Amino acid sequence: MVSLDTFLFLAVDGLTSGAVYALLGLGIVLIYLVTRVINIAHGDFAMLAAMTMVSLDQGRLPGTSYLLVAGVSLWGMLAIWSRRRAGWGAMLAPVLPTVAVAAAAVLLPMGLAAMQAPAVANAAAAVLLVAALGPVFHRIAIEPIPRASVLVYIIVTLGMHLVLQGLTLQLWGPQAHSVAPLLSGSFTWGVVVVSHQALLVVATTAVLVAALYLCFSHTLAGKALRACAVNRTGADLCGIQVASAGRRAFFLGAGLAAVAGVLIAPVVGVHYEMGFLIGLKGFVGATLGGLVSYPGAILGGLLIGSFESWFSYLSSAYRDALVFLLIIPLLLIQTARMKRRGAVHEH
Amino acid sequence: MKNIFRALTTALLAVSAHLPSTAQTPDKPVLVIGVVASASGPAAALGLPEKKAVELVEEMARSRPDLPFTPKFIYYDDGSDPTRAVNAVRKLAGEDAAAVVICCTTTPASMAILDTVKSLGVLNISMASAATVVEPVSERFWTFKTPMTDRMQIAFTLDRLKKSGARRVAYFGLEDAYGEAGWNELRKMAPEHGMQIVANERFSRADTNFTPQALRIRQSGADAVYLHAIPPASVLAHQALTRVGIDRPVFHSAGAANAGFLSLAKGSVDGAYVVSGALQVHDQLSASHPLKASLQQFVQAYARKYPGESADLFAGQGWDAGQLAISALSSAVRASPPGTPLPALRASARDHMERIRNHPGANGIFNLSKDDHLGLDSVGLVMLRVENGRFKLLEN
Repeated sequence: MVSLDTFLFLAVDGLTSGAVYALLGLGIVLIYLVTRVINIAHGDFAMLAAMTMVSLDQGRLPGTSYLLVAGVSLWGMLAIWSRRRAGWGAMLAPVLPTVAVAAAAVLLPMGLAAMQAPAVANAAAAVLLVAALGPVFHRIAIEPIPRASVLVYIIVTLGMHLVLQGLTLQLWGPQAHSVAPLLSGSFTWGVVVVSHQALLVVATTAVLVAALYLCFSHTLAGKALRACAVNRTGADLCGIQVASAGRRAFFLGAGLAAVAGVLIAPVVGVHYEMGFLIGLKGFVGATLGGLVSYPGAILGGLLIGSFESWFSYLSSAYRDALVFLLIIPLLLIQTARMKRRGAVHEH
Repeated sequence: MKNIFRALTTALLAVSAHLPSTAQTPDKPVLVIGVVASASGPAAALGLPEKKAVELVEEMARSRPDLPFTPKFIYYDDGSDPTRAVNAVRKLAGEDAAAVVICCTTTPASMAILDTVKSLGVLNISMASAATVVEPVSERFWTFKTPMTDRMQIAFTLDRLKKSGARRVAYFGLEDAYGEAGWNELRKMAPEHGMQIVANERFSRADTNFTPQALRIRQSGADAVYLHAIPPASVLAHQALTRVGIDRPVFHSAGAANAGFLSLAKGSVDGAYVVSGALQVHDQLSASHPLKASLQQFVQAYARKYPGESADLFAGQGWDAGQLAISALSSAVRASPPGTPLPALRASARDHMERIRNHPGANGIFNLSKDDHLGLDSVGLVMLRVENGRFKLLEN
């Protein structure tokens, strides 16, 4: 029989990893709603943020800076090429922002290294750098094929996952790294040892969820994103630029994943393969809300974390198989709910 | 004019004919030792130090006047790919006329070339860890290897566990080929050592949480935990055991006997036991240890040739493979009359390989025989304990 402290340990751990999956799930839902892209490479943003944190803590220029410089340069060149018939003035217009972003991508880490910045500043910089990669990802991989089917986008992001993972392997090497926790220490709650980092994970997730809710319901940019999610053509007709909404969705989504990565890195260590699996678990959580509901994604993420914790306890050899098996009952629940409403999913 | 021309030509010819014989003693044959190591690809972290160590062997062999032949080493990179390893071995045995082959870094590549070396009839020394590379010996006539097997390390650990008074042991390992191999050996050997296995818990490299499995182990009431994993998973698993309050000794496999384990742990694994090759703590060995002198010689030579680097376990594989190849080939050349054709020389090198006795290497003392193509006993194994974030050698 399971003793009380075992139960509490499992509950606390389930909640901690669940919060991380919830953040990833939120980003996946956000990106899917606005752009119809199911982002397979979502976990890689978390992995990149964790890797960036490792480099920044060591006072070195992270590989993310190289990725950003390369991506932004490509973006700039595409912009110049698309204006080739509009005269020199128009063609030169994208040069300044391109150079500015590229310079910021290099100078920010160098400045932090020169100041020997505290870990919290490094974490924030890592999140910012990876969030900036989101729009670049959208511009380079998604925008060249507008209005493609969901399946095509899945294949594109799968390709981008392989590219990002391969580049990470090249830039950071195959070895695992460790990151010092943002909040060290722990406290004992009855018999259960809870690290401060675990509390930080849950608290940060809660704060971000609240911030996201306020942003979507009270700001113009947030409302525009929601409009794109509800009806793309309608939003387009109302003067909302769908492409730039997509970039913003990717910025936010990648940023959420980056926060998840920075939070989980001190707990589990960092290696270049970690992205895919945690991204996939976030995805399974997001399917609870049918990929269209934010509360569903949060609840789903927490459920996946708890189930994973219990499955690891009950049968450690099959825990991942069991977690991914959960997607079948989740989809069945979805279908049943749809039928009851009499609605047919248009996608 | 014509005379001058003729004189010049004769002189040139004479000089050119004389050149090779001044470069080396004329009666020493040049023999090729072919090396295939994974200098790139996923196994590069193993293959590069191996290659460096063989290069060190080559450099030292060149200045040895007692060798009956001049060794010439040819290196190929298999990129951690078994197919490329097979091609490289074929090329070595054919074009390069290698007398001995040292191949390969990884177990899959070493298995892939088994039939190749058999059909080519050339002695191969593998640097891969799995016991199946040389077992069953009857089917591995041409293949030898240098690294310790999991079995020897686990048997050694079980001995220590038994001495510490433990009777109930929990297995905690990776769920990949490495963890599975460890589990199979432990499962077979534990009863022979009077041990009962009370838990078998697994985790993977990508796991975010190790506590549930640790809770199971706590519940099983084990006297000790055997943790078969490599960093970082081995560190995280150990931390999870500490977190749920297990105060039993934790024994790590040799996968933890490296600097990465300590640097990732940052002091959180103090008290852990780790089985290791003696090389890891060569400076802590007592002067009477049978491997002290040979390890010291190897480590110092390596540090001289590669300043700032220290010889690790993998460099030890390259060192042992290179030294054994030279030793076997020397005996073969001494025993064969000059002008022996290459196939006969290769066969003789293989026969003499089986007669190598008391060869002190980096892995231990090699006593090869017809029935044992690894030839190591537990002399090269030591038990370490992590104290203040450093490995400390335990004296029996």
